[in-house]
Amino acid sequence: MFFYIMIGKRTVITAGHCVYIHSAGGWPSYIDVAPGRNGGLRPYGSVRAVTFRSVTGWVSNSSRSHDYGAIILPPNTPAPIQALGGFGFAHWGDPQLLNRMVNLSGYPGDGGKLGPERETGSQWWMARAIKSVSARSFAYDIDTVGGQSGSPVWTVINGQRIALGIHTNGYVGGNSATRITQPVFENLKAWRTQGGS
Amino acid sequence: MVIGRVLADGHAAVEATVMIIEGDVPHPDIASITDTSGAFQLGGLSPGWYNLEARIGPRTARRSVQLSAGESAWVEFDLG
Repeated sequence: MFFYIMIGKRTVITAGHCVYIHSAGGWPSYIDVAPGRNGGLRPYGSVRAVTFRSVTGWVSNSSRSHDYGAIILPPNTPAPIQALGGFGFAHWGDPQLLNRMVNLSGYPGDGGKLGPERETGSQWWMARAIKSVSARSFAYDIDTVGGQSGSPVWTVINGQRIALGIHTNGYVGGNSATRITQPVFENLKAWRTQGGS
Repeated sequence: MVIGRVLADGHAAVEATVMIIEGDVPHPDIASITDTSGAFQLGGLSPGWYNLEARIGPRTARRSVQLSAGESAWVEFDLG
């Protein structure tokens, strides 16, 4: 169970460890993608994907700095899913990222909150400022737990959601995302084209 | 790697969710779904301390585990 980010009609980006799992034989046989899942409801249906992308740094070297990938949905993906639209994405410099308020939305494995609304498959959102930046990642105090890998970390520019990172890691000292750098940006563009942008 | 099993009502808990709640080292924010024998695995983890939760419906249990370098750790959850 992982989250993901649609960036084109048939391209979703996610964590590398969601599409290539070293401890489980590598590439999965398939991934079922259900946009907007709400508990047991799948408002746009779902589609089974068998085509995946990642980079050598993740697949061959398990490098946290290269922990990102993509799911290419099949050409017969239902029209309502292809019509959903997608996030924009951008690579920003350190000064632009540091202290920038960002959003993260995903599906925590614990259902998000204690209480009657707690249900696996429910989507939760939180926003906090980026508190530190490194060459290939950035960190924040947005609360996450297992299951939220692959979530978008985004800001809003002129009403458009712009992904700046891909959530991958938890840590008591600060959760973190793979940063969309120039090389990541170029790969995302190529994968978006492969998904029929 | 953390491997283990989830039980409910004395039997294997199928399609229970097992997730990392927190850890004292950076870790992939992953969760696992148990198979028909109630088994799960969480891979790609560095040595360190982790707090895990298993749940199925409203029933939950938490366990802490210390993962040592080069070793796997076994964790069993009993959801009652």
